[in-house]
Amino acid sequence: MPADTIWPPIRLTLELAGTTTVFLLLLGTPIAWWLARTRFRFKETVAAVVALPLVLPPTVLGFYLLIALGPDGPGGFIARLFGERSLAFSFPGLVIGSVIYSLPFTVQPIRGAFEAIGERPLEAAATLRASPWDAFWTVAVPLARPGLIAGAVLGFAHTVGEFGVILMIGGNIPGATRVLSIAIYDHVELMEWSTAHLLSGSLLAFSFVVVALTLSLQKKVGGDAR
Amino acid sequence: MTGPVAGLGPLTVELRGVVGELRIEAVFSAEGGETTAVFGPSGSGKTTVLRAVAGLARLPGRLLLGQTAWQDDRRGVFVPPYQRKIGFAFQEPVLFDHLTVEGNLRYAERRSGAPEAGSVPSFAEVVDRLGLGEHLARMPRGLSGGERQRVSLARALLARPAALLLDEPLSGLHRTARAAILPWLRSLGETSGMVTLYVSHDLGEVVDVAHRIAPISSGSITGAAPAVEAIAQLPAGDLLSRFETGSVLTAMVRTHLPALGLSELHLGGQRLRVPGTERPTGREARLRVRSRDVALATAAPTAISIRNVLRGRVLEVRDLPETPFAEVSVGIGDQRLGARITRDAATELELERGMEVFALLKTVSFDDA
Repeated sequence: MPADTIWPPIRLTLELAGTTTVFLLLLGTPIAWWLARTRFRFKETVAAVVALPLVLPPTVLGFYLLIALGPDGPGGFIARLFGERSLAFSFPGLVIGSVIYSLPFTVQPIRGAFEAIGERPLEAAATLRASPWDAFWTVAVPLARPGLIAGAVLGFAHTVGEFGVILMIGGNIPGATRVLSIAIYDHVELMEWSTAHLLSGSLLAFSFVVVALTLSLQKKVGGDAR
Repeated sequence: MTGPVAGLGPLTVELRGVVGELRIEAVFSAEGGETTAVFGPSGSGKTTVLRAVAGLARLPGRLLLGQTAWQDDRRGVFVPPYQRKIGFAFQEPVLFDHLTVEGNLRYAERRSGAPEAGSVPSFAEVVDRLGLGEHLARMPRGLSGGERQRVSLARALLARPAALLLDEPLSGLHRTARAAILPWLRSLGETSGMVTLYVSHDLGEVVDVAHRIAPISSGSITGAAPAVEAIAQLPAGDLLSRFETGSVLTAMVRTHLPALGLSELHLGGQRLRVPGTERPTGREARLRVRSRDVALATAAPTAISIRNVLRGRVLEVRDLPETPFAEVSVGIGDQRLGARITRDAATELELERGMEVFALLKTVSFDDA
């Protein structure tokens, strides 16, 4: 059981999940804010688009992403600006796919937290001469912290566990797109049970730690405030 | 010391609109350095008007602070709340739960644009006057209703506003605590030059704090009048039935008579004795007299138990419709005292404008007692 078959997928998975989480927060927070506060008539339609990956089979999402990221899609166009042929089967492609796939897991809890704050603290901030931007960072974000943490953790964990989308758009390139869940699948296919056991067990332990940590963290945040 | 924020002018309010079932028509102005009470029963639209002045809600019309337009629909001007120099205390205090009490206060102070040192009122004075010293490190969630209101008021003051907008800010406090805060608030407005709008349905509170009163009834405010006049002229209809009519008189405390438990005061050269000896001598005090505690005589009465008799002239006799009573305004020096007598008595005494009368004050109390 050589170390170089175990560590590269783990490292890649953590890198992918970490990068994805950063982009999830950057993208998901404004979307959640907008969904929580807008009076736009079709906001639930927008919310449905964001939530679509919850019900869409990963292979379907992966298929469309493959076309979009491929040489003939917009992804290919962007890739050519950087001297590449396509974004499919590359790390940036995986990040894009993961962000879309995990977005609802991040947006939902953050939107809920923003909605729970209500209008009043922001009104109070406005009467104290805090601009909307100021109030967002000094009032809304701190008050929504439990939701933001939950959104980040769920997005991270969901990305770690991703399989179908990655298989479709990333394939199985060692060191480049071969993440943990795919490595496990490979090892099982090759009947390398002990490696599959080790990786699966680690993932199980990791998932448990993440969930337990999130729960206790949220409880502590809540406990402080109450 | 840094004085008041420059350019504080009157706050001119001209707002008209419909909110839900209520037609709002608010046309009045509030002077800098004065506290103007928006006074009326609940459901009369007080909060709506105040929120519109803050820019938190929109009513069509015009709002000016001095020469600065906060809102002018004809010119398409609407300054968002965070660019108006206001301080706002909600009736149901809204504190930032993620910050300590001190954090809440500093949040306001940091954004006030006033220099940290030398601004009036100072952080220390506000904390001290509102009794928040021991609570500074606490989180808002643990505070009682009255404590929350005091933090909210302190925070509004530390925003160093040009217009302080208060919506029943002390409704959760005990009467004694309120009586300590209101005169301070009133004097704070005087020294800083800010405009204070004080929304309340409590006449006692209004009397303690207000220079002027803008009565509101079914969404309509037609102007602000000096407090004493406004109280004397409160309509006798449904608004009044909820309150006692009364007058507020200003008199100079001359001496204390501890053996009798009384203070002796002078009012326009006439003498008054009032229960209570806490007021410092040589200072002005505000006295409250209920209209129904005032009787009138056309000759100086002798041999009666009432000690306080003021000589004055009838300014106005108003019949109170659908009641057997009349409200008589008596001018005492340049002050005005209301008396409620029966119409029958008014007729029999042949009361008319300019006539000399003696007002018999059955009960007089210090304003904050």
